[in-house]
Amino acid sequence: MRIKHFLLLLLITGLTSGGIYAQERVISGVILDEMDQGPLVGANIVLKGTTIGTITDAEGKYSLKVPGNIASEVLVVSYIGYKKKEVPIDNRTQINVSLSMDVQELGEVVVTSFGIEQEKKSINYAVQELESKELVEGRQENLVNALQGKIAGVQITSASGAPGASSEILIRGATSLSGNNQPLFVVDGIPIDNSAVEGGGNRAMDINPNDIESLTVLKGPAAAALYGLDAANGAIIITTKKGAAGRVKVDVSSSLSIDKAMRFPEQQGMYSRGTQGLSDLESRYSWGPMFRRDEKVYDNLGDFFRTGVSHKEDISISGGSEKATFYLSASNFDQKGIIPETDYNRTSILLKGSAQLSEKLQVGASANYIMTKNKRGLSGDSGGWLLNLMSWPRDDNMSVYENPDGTKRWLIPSLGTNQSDNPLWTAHNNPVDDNVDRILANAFISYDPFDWMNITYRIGRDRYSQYYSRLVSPNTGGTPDGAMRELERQRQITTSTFNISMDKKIGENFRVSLLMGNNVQEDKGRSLTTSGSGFINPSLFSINNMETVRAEQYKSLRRVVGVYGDLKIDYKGMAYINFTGRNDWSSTLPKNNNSFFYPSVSAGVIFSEFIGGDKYFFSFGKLRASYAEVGADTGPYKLSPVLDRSYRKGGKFKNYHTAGNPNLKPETTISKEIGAELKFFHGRLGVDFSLYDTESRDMIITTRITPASGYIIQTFNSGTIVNKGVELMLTGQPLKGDFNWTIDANISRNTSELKELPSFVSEFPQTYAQLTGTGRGSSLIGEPVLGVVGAAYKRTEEGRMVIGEDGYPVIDDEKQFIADRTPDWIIGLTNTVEYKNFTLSMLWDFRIGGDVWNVTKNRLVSYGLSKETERRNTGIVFDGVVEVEEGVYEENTKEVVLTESFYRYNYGAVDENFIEDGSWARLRFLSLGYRLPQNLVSRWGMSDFSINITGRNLLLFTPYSGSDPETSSVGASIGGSGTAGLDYGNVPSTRGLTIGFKASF
Amino acid sequence: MKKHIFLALLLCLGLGACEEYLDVNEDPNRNATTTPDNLLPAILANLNYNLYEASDLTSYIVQYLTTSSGATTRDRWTFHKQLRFGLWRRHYFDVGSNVHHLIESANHEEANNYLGVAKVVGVLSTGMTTDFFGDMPYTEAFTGNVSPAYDPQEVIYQGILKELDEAVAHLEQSGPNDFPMTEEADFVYSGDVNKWKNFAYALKARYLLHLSKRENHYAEILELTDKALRGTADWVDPELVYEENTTDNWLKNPFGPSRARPSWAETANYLHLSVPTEFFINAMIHNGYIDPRLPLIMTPSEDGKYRYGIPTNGIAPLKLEDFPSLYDGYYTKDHSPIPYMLESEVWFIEAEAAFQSGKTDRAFQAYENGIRVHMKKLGVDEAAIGEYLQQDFIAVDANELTLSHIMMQKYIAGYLSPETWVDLRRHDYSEEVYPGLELPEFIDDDLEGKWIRRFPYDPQTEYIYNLPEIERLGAQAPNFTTTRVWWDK
Repeated sequence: MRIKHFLLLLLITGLTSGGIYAQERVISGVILDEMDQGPLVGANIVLKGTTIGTITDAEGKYSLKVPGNIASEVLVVSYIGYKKKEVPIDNRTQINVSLSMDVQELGEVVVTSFGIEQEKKSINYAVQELESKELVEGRQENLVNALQGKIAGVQITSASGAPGASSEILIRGATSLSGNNQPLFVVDGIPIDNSAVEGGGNRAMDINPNDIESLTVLKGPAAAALYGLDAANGAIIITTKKGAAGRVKVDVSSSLSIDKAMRFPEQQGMYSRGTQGLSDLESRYSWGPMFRRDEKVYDNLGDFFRTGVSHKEDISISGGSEKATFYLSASNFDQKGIIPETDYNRTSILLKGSAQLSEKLQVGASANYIMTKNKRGLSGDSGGWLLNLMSWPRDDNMSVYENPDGTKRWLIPSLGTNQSDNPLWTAHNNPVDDNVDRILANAFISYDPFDWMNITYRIGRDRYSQYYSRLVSPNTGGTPDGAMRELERQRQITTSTFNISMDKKIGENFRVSLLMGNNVQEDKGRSLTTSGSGFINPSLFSINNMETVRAEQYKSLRRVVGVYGDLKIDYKGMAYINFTGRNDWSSTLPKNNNSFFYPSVSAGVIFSEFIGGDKYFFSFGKLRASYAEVGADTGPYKLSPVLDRSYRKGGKFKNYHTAGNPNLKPETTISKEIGAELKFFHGRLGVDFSLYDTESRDMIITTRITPASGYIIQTFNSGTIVNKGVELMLTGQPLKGDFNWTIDANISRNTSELKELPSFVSEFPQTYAQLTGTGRGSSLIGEPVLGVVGAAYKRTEEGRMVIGEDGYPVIDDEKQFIADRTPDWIIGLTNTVEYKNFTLSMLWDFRIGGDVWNVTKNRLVSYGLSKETERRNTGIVFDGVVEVEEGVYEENTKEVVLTESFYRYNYGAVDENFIEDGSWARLRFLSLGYRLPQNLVSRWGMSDFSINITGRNLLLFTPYSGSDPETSSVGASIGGSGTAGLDYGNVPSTRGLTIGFKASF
Repeated sequence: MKKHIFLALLLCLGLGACEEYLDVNEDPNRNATTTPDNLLPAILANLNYNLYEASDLTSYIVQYLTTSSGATTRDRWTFHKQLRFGLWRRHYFDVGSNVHHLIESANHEEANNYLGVAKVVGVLSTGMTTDFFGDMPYTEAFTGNVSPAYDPQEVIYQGILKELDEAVAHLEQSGPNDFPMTEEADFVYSGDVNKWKNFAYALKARYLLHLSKRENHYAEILELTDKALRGTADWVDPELVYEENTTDNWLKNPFGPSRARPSWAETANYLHLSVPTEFFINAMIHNGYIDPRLPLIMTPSEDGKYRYGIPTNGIAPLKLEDFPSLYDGYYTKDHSPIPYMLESEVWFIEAEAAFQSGKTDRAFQAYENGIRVHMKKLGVDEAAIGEYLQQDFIAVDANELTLSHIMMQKYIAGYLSPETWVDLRRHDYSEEVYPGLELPEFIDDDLEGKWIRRFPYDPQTEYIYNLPEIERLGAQAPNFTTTRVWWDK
């Protein structure tokens, strides 16, 4: 489509005549919407047949210098979604133009699979697109976080407030128990890696949000079917900015942010260190005597965190002629985290260009180089290191982590290295470095043999190398000699796509388009891990200085070949039907099972076209339905058993923990969706509604098995998950004109159910979510996928708690399903108000329901530091019943004391006590922008200048007692149902303020 | 690279004829199989780790040790409340599956020496594991069946006794044409099949003795100990000796002061927060006479005392430094050996079998030999041994000898050995056999005031991935660990 526009422009402006004018002229004016006479911002004005052009400013104004030697006498004015107009100049210097909306392109154009731009009204499934402005207004540097609250049906969980922390996305629920549930990310037609390793960030955060022109979320298999097996969880299609024909445009922007830890779990400050009410300085527990009035109670939590400061600078230069365009941007983002010694830096350079070699031939290429450097306070693979901070006894000043002589100060000196470290010491001495060098490159050639046919070949590569190092300095608790681990990793995804598309009117009423293509993808990885233990010389932190060094190499290769077709039939722009089919061959599956086909069909009717009446009130109505299947393969080398190195004495080989499975076959996700899109008041009120039902069958799940089989883990094809949901998107423009007010609301609900597991599996626990001895993030048959299974109190059939003869509640022997971590409703509400040069926008983000398992509090309770343990040593009669004989209960009347051992071995041993409602209402951001008056900025040689102040996470209302109910103990590093809703000593989320400016020249 | 892609594009455009392009799923990182000599070392070393973890848990049950708080899982026997119970996989995955693989590989090479050794070490691991758990998968284990049936312990015992006979047969058939078994492959006996044969006889004696409550095998046991101790080859303790002066945690004895924990799947020892128990110290110190072995297995406190703790009571108000240090003893250095079986145990097996079959002279001889070889092993000199044997708590002749004399000496010589727990159960924690042994006060309520008789299956695997068998065995009951395994009934 884009190419066609370009060609059209070329044709229109292609013939230049050679008259000579001696005098330079300046033409200026305003471009307005014909309907409401509002200014059109960013409309294109080009002198016909030349490369001379400009765009309108924020007030719709333009000013075009016409050199004396240019003969053209016609202005071509265009704006997306509007009919193009050619206006003769007729010696005028003031030309105002009104454009009318193009009925053919009433709705927006959205980018879909393979970067194909489609009219939104012709698409028969839910799709949402975000523009550049919407992505940057919340000032989120992790692209994924920028989607928060903006897309219906998407649950985003930012792991923590640490710099470089990952964020996970679930689109319409989890479809896989053990595999990846993250959507496919595609940048300019090339799939990129969004994985997270070693507790690091999700790699899509390498993309500079400022470089993005538009982002489309393809929510389900129907939308993503053409992308094949990686798109079972939907796809996020990113189109980066490009240059436009016309004068060179330079944008410069800069911003400065401060961040603070938002909330902490509540600690008690009444009781000091010890056990059983007695002081014991050899203990870490706070079950000691009451603090004396002369004793200081330290705020170790508050003292630990600092104010994070970050700044970002962006510059972009773009422009071009009809023959060629370019876009060049450079950006630097530098963040100092709220934890001492942690930071994150991202530098990105993007160069993109395209050239029209002939009327029929276009080529283009882009390269994006990104360098990130992330220094994290030690965060292991399973979160939780702040538990040590949160449970630090408050009689001790944790901020003193060294003795006056510079040696390490231990909390309990007699234990030496047999104790946990002061987190501040860890932050200073045991850094984790995670640096990535990445290049995203792609090139395409596009040929139009006929005006109804296009052939495009695109090849691209996402390649990055990562350096990860983790230092465990000598004298670290548990590792007195020190240790070090370095990981050098490379990943390279190469994608080749060959598409032939045809688009032709057949007769009066039909338009048929057909796309056929081939896709070859190669995903290659290699890593080298070097680990050493024991520093010979305690001051040099190099592998060369280690007693024992061990290296391990890993290479992986996966190849997928796909062919596909996409047929669309459009009846008078009123009814659409669309068939797609794709066949994939994957190298990771057994040869007899590696080919799989999946179809989709979708249809839509614009019924408003068939009914008459007032188009002003009811402007547009469409009903749509779709059915799609999509397959998924597995990772490489899962088919047969292999041997692993043994590091114990004698070395050599032992069995590898994972058994092979030579019978694997593709898993299938089937999705059905119906929806409606309605517009009222000439589009000022829009409603988009979808219902969906997704079923994943023959899930490829990697599960623990009994070691009696001879292995620990095996991959199977078994199990079914069903997700059902509803999505509602509302857009409204209550006020239009000088005072402009728009509202966008996204409301969604997803429910999931695990229908089936392999016969021998009674429960599917998440490996990294086993956070207490009894409890774990887990999935059970017949229950929602994001569950928690753990210890609960014994209850009668009526639900009364059973109290033992000793007066304390009785713990049930059987573990129970105690929490559903899926929110009932996710609501995002964006309000934007524009008045004159001011813009105010805010995003309220609501989550209703959804449990959070507060393991942090559990830990604080056992350590005697949780606020609620202040009630210790007081009496209580537990509300419940006592079993007097089998099945006969009496009301409990026994008064007992809330003792340390009750808190530690009864209350603290029951996971159910730490399940909390994770609902929230959150003012995710509030942003105020001011655009300086045009006459002022033009005096400074600028075309535009705006300043902006944004507050993030300004308000949070939640019944949750911990730091933030939006939390994930591991983040995006793991697959499956993940660890969202598991609070396990994570870095608190932050509240912050950003001020920034943007100037255009 | 890009060329490949173009090639694939051209090839695959047709009917998907791109088999060659897609034929890249052979793991370039790991071997699929190997020769027997490359499989045996890991089995021996993993077996050692299995023994270490077993010792680490059982030493607190049999009251060699107790912790300073008295409140840990080790003290209160809350194993059934833990997240995972690693001993299960130590046998099945770390040792068993590799033994299974080695047998396949050795059959392929027709290597009788490897077949014999594989079966001996396999039986040691299987036997120890069934002694801990009771019924468990045996006939269907390692077959690829992901929900194997649990065999009754009786069947497992029949199986391991048969495997030992097969092992001896293989070792006897072993000849110069066997696949070479060098010191590098067999760092226990350097491929000496006769020594392995001794070990096989001794193991069979051990497992027959385990059946003492149910079956009388004393005659066969005495034949077997005779073969093991007085056979053609001298008995040499099978053990794995750890490296001296290494910083590689994989090569350190996990009982050492480094508390080596080379990976997350290993457990660090708890000796730093442990003290000897009253029962053990009373077995070592009689009216001020200190067993010469005591200073060799632990170091007294700075004031020269061997204070002890009482299981589950904690040591408060005393401090850890008031107690002996358990590190740097014979078995608790970073480079200490971990024995698979000690000669002294074989002598005590003979002593018990002879005693029970009325052969008190042979019993007394074996009893004294057991004491002697153990003292010698720890480095006690002859004079001190002589002095020890004159003490009044030592039986001086066959007439004076009681079962308690034998079992208490076996208990001392078995310091940190998981075999001791079998003995205590076989003799029902009897105060008559083990004078002064008392049930700890604050064990977990679920045990209803009873001694622990077995371990729970691994909660992280069996209760989730083989639940029907767990339900069949009633292993979900909170007091399951107080129920007896078959030979204990």
